[in-house]
Amino acid sequence: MVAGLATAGRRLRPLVRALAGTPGNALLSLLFFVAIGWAVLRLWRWAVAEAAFGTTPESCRAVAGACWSVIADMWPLFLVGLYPMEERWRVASAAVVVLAAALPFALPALRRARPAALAAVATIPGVLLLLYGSPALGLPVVGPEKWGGLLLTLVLAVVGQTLAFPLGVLLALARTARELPVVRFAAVCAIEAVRSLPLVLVLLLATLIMPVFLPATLPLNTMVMAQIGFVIFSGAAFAEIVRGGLQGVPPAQVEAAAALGLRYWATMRLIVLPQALRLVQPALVGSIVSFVKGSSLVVAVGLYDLLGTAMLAAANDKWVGHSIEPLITVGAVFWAICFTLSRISARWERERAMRTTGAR
Amino acid sequence: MSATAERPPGPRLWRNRRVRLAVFQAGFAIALVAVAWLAYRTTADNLARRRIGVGFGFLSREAGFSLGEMLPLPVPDGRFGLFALSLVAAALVAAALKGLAGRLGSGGALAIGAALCLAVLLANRALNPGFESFAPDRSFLFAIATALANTVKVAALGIVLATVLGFLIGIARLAANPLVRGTATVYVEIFRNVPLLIQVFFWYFAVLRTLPGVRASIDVLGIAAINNRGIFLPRLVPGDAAATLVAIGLAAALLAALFVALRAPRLSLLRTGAIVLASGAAAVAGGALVLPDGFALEYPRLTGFNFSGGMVITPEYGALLLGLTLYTAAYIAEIVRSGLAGVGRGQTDAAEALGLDRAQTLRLVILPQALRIAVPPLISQYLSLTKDSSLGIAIGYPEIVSVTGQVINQTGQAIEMLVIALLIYMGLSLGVSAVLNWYNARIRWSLV
Repeated sequence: MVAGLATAGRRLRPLVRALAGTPGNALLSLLFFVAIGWAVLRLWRWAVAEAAFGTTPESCRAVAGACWSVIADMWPLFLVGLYPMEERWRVASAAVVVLAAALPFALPALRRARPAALAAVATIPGVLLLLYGSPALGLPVVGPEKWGGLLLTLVLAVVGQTLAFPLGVLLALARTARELPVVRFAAVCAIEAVRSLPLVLVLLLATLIMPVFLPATLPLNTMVMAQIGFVIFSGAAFAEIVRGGLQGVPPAQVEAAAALGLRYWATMRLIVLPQALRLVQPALVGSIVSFVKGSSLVVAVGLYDLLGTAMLAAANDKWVGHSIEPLITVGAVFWAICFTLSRISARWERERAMRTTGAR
Repeated sequence: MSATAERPPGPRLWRNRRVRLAVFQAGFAIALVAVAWLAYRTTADNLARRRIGVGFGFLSREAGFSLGEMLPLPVPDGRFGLFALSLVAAALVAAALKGLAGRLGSGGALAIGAALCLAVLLANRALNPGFESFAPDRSFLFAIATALANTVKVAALGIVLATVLGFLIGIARLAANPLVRGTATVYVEIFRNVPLLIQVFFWYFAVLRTLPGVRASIDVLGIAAINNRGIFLPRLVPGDAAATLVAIGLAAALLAALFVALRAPRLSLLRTGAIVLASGAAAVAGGALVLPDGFALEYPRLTGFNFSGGMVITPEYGALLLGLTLYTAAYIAEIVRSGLAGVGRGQTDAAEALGLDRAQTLRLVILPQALRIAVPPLISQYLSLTKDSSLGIAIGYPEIVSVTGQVINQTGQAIEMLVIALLIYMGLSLGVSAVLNWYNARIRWSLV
């Protein structure tokens, strides 16, 4: 017993020294302890102890804390926006398909298999068709203007990234093509112009300029135009990251490929790009995270993504004055997505570092 | 050289690599031109159908909308030349500072800065363009200039505040005290992973707009007031002698900077800046004793339905500034942390062996080296902050993007506004990176 206490004491000693090694440090610890305790207590009281968990505005009358009733009442809006009630099973089945396609990535054994990635990409058109509908298949059409909430956020992010990635790779290859000055110049202009603009402006211009550039007969709606703007913006950002990777591949690799008789595209596809992309994988995931966050900017062009529906709920007559609860909920969802992505990336990076050092 | 001439009669023309590359590029260029021409034709058709003219003539037309926030600008309506001239002058200033700073040291750079401010002030007195605020009967160009001023106003202060906060948090991320370290880590992980727009909405709709109304304002010591229309603060009002006072202060600052440049050219920028600022402030304070009509404090007062007098931090400006600062500070903290982590352990040991204490080690040994690693990513972070200020459009802060949208709605001149916005943002990017590249070059010299 006494011995156990002594071991515990010895274990705690570094902690005690770190917290109160010097009088100044002890004071700092005390200050932080009090401040953190106070903040946690206040947050607990607001979010849990004194909060309302009903479903009606009346349930919030008497409480001093948060009114989570607005979330309980509005959650379908947050998930799918204005997608018609009787068609929502399609969204649910789409979610099942997407989760099934994403499952292999959770298993380390399957993660590196190229078929898994290709299959996941291949499900995207099918899922979009399921969501949009087709009279031939007996599914009533639900136009993108009805899509909203988390559904719209995920569609914008996933479709946007899937299309932007090849665009970015092409632009990066064009920019690094030494023997094609015309192509390189065009790529530099396009990349630098798009990258100097903020995403909101690109979205705004996409929705305002595209109707002027394109024939008036094309059926364009805001969601499609915003998606195109998003792809262009993300593509330019990807291009710069991929270019960094391309520059990191030793020239000897290209020379070796030439010595083997490989043509340009074969060299790029088999030799250069795999190495380049592996080099910049953390940066790629970082920019995917920033595009997931950036997708919330479609609010500025009048779309109701996850953030848009939160503002819609707060503007509802029934729930007027309750903007903080929807904002915090939506913020927490975005946070969970982005935090998970960055953690996964960090783990891959660690695993790879271990593998490469192990190989040596 | 002679290899081409002596090349054996090889494969046919289309097998020649250079010919094929040239043909491919010509095809690419033709396709590009064709697409551009098609887009141009469609655009011309569409514009004609909507009766929208082409060209920048609309800029001098009456705007017809009002802006929620404006700074008085020395841009008298229609006098585009003066506005353009001041932009050119600013670019020249930046170029001159960049070119001369290396030779003259920090004192020289600040002397040039002070001299330029003095010259601008005197020129301003001589030309007397007058400062005017935007109004709906002013031109679109005036609206765009006001929007640019608003963007610069929020981005400049945001950069300063985010840097200070980011450095504190970045250093705290590596603190020995687990409570301090943990708090900093939680801060970074929360603020970095929530979209900036949600944070701006939070500060705007859930905090600043829910403050009490004008009648129930929170009174701060009788000199300031906080309510849902903004934070009302006292303001310095220039009197008749204000320009003279500022001129005296600038002249003193100029003298101090010249003194440093001549006598202590290797003094650090920070210390030179402190000396220059202190002498300028002392001269202004001394001058104020002689000239009583310099500056007066004007307090905000409740008149009718709102406060008047003093200055106001609007909820829109406040929310955008808070959001930008707290969000960017999380990124800057990570940059600072990796910069600090990038300085070798041996440096700390060596500093300890020399008898420096922890604070001295950080200030004299670690930070200067960490800065060298941190400056390039910091530059791109500042650029992001400047671009992110465009989120003002979502809460009605009239910066460049929201005014661009407003002008396009009013006139339909989308393509012209795209060109203008592109020029403005490229100019801002070049400006920010020019200043920081200059700084980057400086710290490199002083270290190598």
